Amino acid sequence: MVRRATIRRIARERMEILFEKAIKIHEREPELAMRYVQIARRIGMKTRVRIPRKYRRLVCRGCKQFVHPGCTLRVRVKPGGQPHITYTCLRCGHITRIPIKKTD
Amino acid sequence: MSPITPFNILRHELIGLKVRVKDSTCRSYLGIKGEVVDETRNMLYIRTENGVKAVPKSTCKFVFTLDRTVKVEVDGLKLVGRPEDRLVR
Repeated sequence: MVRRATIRRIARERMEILFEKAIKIHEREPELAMRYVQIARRIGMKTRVRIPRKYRRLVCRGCKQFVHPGCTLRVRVKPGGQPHITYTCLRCGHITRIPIKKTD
Repeated sequence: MSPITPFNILRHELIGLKVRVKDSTCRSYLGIKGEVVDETRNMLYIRTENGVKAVPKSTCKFVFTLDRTVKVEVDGLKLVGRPEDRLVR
């Protein structure tokens, strides 16, 4: 149905708008940024649309809140047997590790 | 990104749009204008120069400004619903 595709397209656009706004205002008004991310997540859940890839790391998997490198997120490159990047949420302490892949 | 049109404004994101209350059943809401900062099931939160005002959707007619030139008048009754519910219908 044309209807479903339109709804999904609008859902993705709305989520992009909301994430862009959250990034812009999160330093001055962190509560509003969290609210926008909450709405964006609900839109995605309701319409079964995934969060666009470039915004995926802005939501903590543990506390589901807006998170931004530098103020609420700690990003470190860790060496070792398997070099990886560590994202630590400074609110709930949840850690996401992404292994570094060599792109040849 | 496709622009918000008068056709899909009922489904699209209202947060961030400039809005003005054109008509209302309660006189104290008339003439409120500013930018939408939040939305719940029955209310629109509009940031005016005097602060953030909570305006019930069902009592007002709103004029939204899209893309700096296009203006749309919307009956607030059609906007009632949580943001995620408005999208699906």
